[in-house]
This record gives sequence, C-alpha cells and structure tokens, in this order.
Amino acid sequence: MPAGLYHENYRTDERIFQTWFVRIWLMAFLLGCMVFPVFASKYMMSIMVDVGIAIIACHGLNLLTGFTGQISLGHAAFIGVGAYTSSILVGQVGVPFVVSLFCAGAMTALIGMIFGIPSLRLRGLYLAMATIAAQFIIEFTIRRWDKLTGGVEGMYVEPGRLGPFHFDDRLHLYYLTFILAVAATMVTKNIIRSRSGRAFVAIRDRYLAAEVIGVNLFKYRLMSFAVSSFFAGVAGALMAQNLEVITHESFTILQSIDYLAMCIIGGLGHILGGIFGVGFWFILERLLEVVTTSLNTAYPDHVTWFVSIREIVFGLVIILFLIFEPDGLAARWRTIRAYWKLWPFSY
Amino acid sequence: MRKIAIVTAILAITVALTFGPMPLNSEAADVIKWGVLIDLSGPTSDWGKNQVKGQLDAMRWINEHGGINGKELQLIVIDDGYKVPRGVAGYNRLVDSEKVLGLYIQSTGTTMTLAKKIVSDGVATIAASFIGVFQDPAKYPFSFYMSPSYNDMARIALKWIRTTWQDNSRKPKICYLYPDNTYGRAILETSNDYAKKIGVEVGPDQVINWPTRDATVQLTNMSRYDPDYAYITSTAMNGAVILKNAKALGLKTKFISNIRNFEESLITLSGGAAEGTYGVHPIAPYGAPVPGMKKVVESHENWHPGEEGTNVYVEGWVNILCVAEALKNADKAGSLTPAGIRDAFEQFRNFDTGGLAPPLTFTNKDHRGSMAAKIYEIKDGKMVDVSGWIELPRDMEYFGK
Repeated sequence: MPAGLYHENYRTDERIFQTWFVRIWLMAFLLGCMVFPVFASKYMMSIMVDVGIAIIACHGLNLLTGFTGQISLGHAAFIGVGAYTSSILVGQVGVPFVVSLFCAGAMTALIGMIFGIPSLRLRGLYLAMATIAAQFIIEFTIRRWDKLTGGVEGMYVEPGRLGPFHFDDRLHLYYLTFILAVAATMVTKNIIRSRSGRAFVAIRDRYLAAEVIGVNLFKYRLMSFAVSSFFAGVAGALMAQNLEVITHESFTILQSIDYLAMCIIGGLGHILGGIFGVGFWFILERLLEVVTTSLNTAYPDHVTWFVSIREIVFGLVIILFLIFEPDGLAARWRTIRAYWKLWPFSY
Repeated sequence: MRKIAIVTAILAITVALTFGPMPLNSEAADVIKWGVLIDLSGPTSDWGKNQVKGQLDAMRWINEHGGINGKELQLIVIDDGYKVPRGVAGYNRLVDSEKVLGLYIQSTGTTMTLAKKIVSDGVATIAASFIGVFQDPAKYPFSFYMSPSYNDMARIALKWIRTTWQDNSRKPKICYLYPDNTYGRAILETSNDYAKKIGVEVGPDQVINWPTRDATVQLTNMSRYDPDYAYITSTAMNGAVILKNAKALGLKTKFISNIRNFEESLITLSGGAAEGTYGVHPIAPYGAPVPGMKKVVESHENWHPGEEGTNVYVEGWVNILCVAEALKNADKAGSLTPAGIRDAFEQFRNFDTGGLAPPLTFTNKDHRGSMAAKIYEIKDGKMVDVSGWIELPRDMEYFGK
C-alpha cells in the first residue's frame, strides 16, 4: 500500500489537482462562489463582479509579465480597447453580446500584438516605456475618435443579452464573470503546462539560452502579448457591462499600475498569484475604506488626516510586502501548505 | 516572535473589521445620511479638502442649529482619489450599503460614468462638475448643482468682455486655454457660437498639458494671434503655471479664470503672477460683505483657527445649506426618500443662501439653478469684484448643452 502521493504514470503526475483532498476543497470553494449571491448584499455583489474582472485581467498581465518577463504598463489601455470594441459592436453594429465578447478579445489581441512588436528589440525598462506609449496612444485615440467612441463625453453601453440573461442585472453579470474567471484560470494554467508555456518561462529566465535551444523569441513574445491582450479584452467587455457608461478616464495609466501591483503582491509567475493579488488588493482597499469612513463620520474635524492614513497604510503594506514576501502571496501559500502537510511532525 | 507578530496582526485586522464599521451600523432613526464622494488624495485633493471642510462645517452648524427639523444630518465622506473605478466602488458603497438619501460627486469622469446608474437607482446627486448636459432633467432627472454651468459662466465672461469693450474700431479677441478632457472641452461649442453672436472674435484654441508643468509653447502660439483676453479652464495648481509662464513672456493679454481655476491658492501658487487677472465666479469670496457670510466666517474662525478661508470652503457651505433646505422640505412633506428629495429640490424658487450664491431655482423642466455670476479681479492678493451680477436669460438655445 503506497503512502502519500504516489504516481504510476505520467498522466497522474501531470494532473492539476492531484489529491481528492484538494479537489473536494476546490469544489467546495466553487460551490461557495455559486451560492454566494443568495447571502450577499447588493454592495458585496458589485465588489465581487469587480474582483472577477480584475482576476481575468491579472491572469493576462501575469502571463505576460510574470511568465514571459515582459513588463507592461499599458494593460488598462488594452482593457479599454476591449471595452470599447464590445460596446461598439453591441450598440452600433448590433452583434450579439457573446460574439462581441470574443471579438473584443480578438481585437485587443491584435492591437496587443502590434504594440508587442517592439518587444523583439526592447527588454526590461525599455519595453516598459514602449508599453507606456501604447497606453497614451490608445487613450488619445479613444479621446479623439469621437465619431466612434463618443470622445471625451464617453459612451453608453448597451446591456448585453444571452437568451434569458441580461447583464445589466448584477446577478447575471456575476455568474458570467464567475464562469469566465474560472475559464481564464484554467486556460492560463493549461497554457503554462504546454510547450508554449515552457517557451514563455524559458524566454523570461534566459532569452539567449532559449533562442539557442530553438525557441522562436519573436513568435513566443508576440504570442504572449496576444494571449495577455485577449484576456484584457474580455475583461474590458465585462467591465463595460459593469460600468454601463465608459469614458477614457476609466482606463488610465494609474489603473495599469494598479494591475501590475496586484500581480506583484499576488506573485508574478504563479497562477494563484493573480487571484491572491486581486483578493488581497480588494480586501485591503475595502478594509481601509471602511475604517477611514467610519473614523471620518465619528470625527469629521480630522477628515484629511484619516485620508492620509489610508494612503500611507496602503503604500506601507505594499513596501512591506516587497521586503518580506518578494515572491508574493502565492509563495507564502505554498509554504503554509507545506507546513500543514507535515503537521504536527514537521521533520 | 514571528508567530506572535502574525497572530497580533490577524487579531488587529479582526478587531478593525468588527469595530471599524460600528459607528455606521448604529442606525438611529433620527439620522439623515448624505454621501460625499470626493478627491482627498489625488490630483485635485487641495480643492477637495477645502470643499469637504466647508461641507462638514456647514453640517456641524446645521446640527447645532436644529438639524433637519430636529434630525441629525450626517455626511459620509469617501475619498475616490480622482480615480473612476474607486469612485464607482464608493458610489456602490454609499448607495447600496450606507443607503444614503443622496450624494455629492466631485470628479467629472465618475459623474459621467455613473450617469446611467444614478438614473436607474434614482438617487439625487449634486455634481461638482458643472457640465451643461446635467442641467437637462429629461436626460438627467436626478442631477443638480448650485451654480451656473461651465458654459454659462464662459458666456457670462464673454458678455462682460463685450459690454466693457471700449474700442469701437475693432471687436475684442479671445482665446481659450483648456486641457484635453471632458472638463476642458465642455465649453467650446456653445461659447464659440455665443461669441460669434455677440461679436467677440475667437482665436486658435490652445490645448494645455494636464497636469501642467509648462505652457510656454501654447502661450507663444497664442501671442501670435495677440488676443485681448484668454479664458482659462483649469484648476488653480495648473492654472498658476500658465499665469507664471505668461508673466515671464510678458504677455499683454488679460486672463480670465473659470471657477475651478479661480481660488485663493491661485494667488499664492502663482507667486504674484495672478495679480491683475480676472475670474468669473458665482460664489461670494470668503469674508465678502453679504448677510450669509457671518456664520461661515464665525464657524471657520472657531473651528479652524489659524487656517485660511477660501471660496471653495464657501462653496462647500452653499452645497450643504441647499441640501439641508431640500431635506427639510422633503421631511416636511413626509417623503424622506431619494425621489422625495428630487421633488424637494424642484420646489426651489429663488432660494437665497444669504448672498453666498445667487438665488437658486429648480423646476422639473429645468435644472439650471442660477444663471448669474460676477467678474472678480485679483488686486493686492485679494479677490475684488469688478462687476455686479451678470445674468443670462433662461433661453432654451444653449439649454442642456
């Protein structure tokens, strides 16, 4: 009788969820998410929709920055491309929402690939600069192409429909986001397990060595940009549904930096990184907001102090994270799991 | 040691989670909640802090003077850092979780993004972004603000230019300086049209970078056209740079600041360059000799000794005094609901704040609160009015644009 994890063939070795214990807990978690709306308030629902969208976006960014090592500071702009593509297709062309969701991804992937071309020549900070350029060019285009995007006035988003579902209802949007977030997680995980995923990691770790062993740098870098942008596009289409009105101000560089920060907190180069980062970010933000608003209400004379406290704590937490948890929450999760696996006999 | 630290941290978070929201949950029946969604940490935070100071002081004064028919008014302030996603999250919290009766929204981007949701939620909002479209109740039935729109104030400035223009040999010339965003471009269409009608020539627009570090290029471009006046749409922090650059270039053009640019910090930040420039503003400057100012100055001196009063602070007072009036009327009518507050606002007929702002009127067809503003000049570092109330007719031509 074999003890512990014991594989007899490669098939079981490559399984994502290897033990029944993990599978049962995962099922419980997913089931919890499914029945969540029964207990949740309207406010909690709107936050969870935000969380789901951010998770999809972060998986995209994690694939590009965490796994392929290409820093992107234009992720919010790509999300904007998806948001506008989907809304224009649904509102002005009359395409069904589900088709527009796919088109938004495809269009954003295309744009992402165009801005990914410099990645052949540029690396590190220089590539970051190029993606900042993407951010500004896309923002400018949204602002000035007013025939198509409504310009600075923004654009109404036609609520998407799919059979009996209409996504201006938070409940329906929640389930759509939930399904897509799970799908995005699965897709990312499977890309990483494939040949392409290993090529991404090879490029990140030593691009020269990768090239020597036969990885086509240009192809895989572009592919990484495309997949990452596809996720951003889908997230954008959902975000448009969530916001109901979109303006260029929803997709600024500040948002791009926020997404990058979420990925770093969660752990670059870990699938769970995107999920943990987003979760941590939203919990911290809500927590600080609850604390500061209640302090504000209790002591209205010192409003400006509490606001500063909020900003300072937020910055401090991120700094502390980088110092004590440079690999992000995902790495910490691994340590905790390892600890409990052997508990109470930790030898 | 490390474990103790972790356990303490978790405990602290749990305690914060449990007790943090407590004051908000203690729902007394005689507390009326009003939301404030404002930037206290982002690019417009200087302005936001003065605004919120005025609003909170007005709240305190109202509560010390009988409240809303005996009920306590409570402002719930949420900082959105001028970011749209944070603004939207804050809105959801105020409306869905705190169940406020109405709210104040500062940033244009957030107001635009939420426009549709506000209509479907039916929550009365006071916008700080005086975009003309928000005045049309057919499109935005729940939107109010206590000032003329940006368009109307630009037209007031144009009217003032035309009426004070002495030289009969030619028409006065003007240029617009503005940032390339919703706020900056809001006035262009109607102002150009109006300028043509009353006989003011409009020169080439100058788009100023936002945030503004330097405007020399744009000002040099503008000086080729040599306008008599330049109308600045900006905020004091950015506008001060424009005025400094203009002084360095030695331009003869007279600058007129719009409401968001024309505040006390413009004078201090521009280091004297603001001297002799003009501004169009509907709110009385801090300390102006109007009957409503006494309580404002007294409160400020009592509660913030040593700090400087600003016209943004007065604007905060005006906002909350009007909210309180609407809440009182809604309460009397027995309908303290978001819809009831909208109706109460629409009952305003020349509501006077003691001269702090021009008398306000809202009807269910027309949410233009007022159509009047004054022109001020900065003399010896003080805002001095150089015109009386300049009022535009309530014509439908520029309504809701």
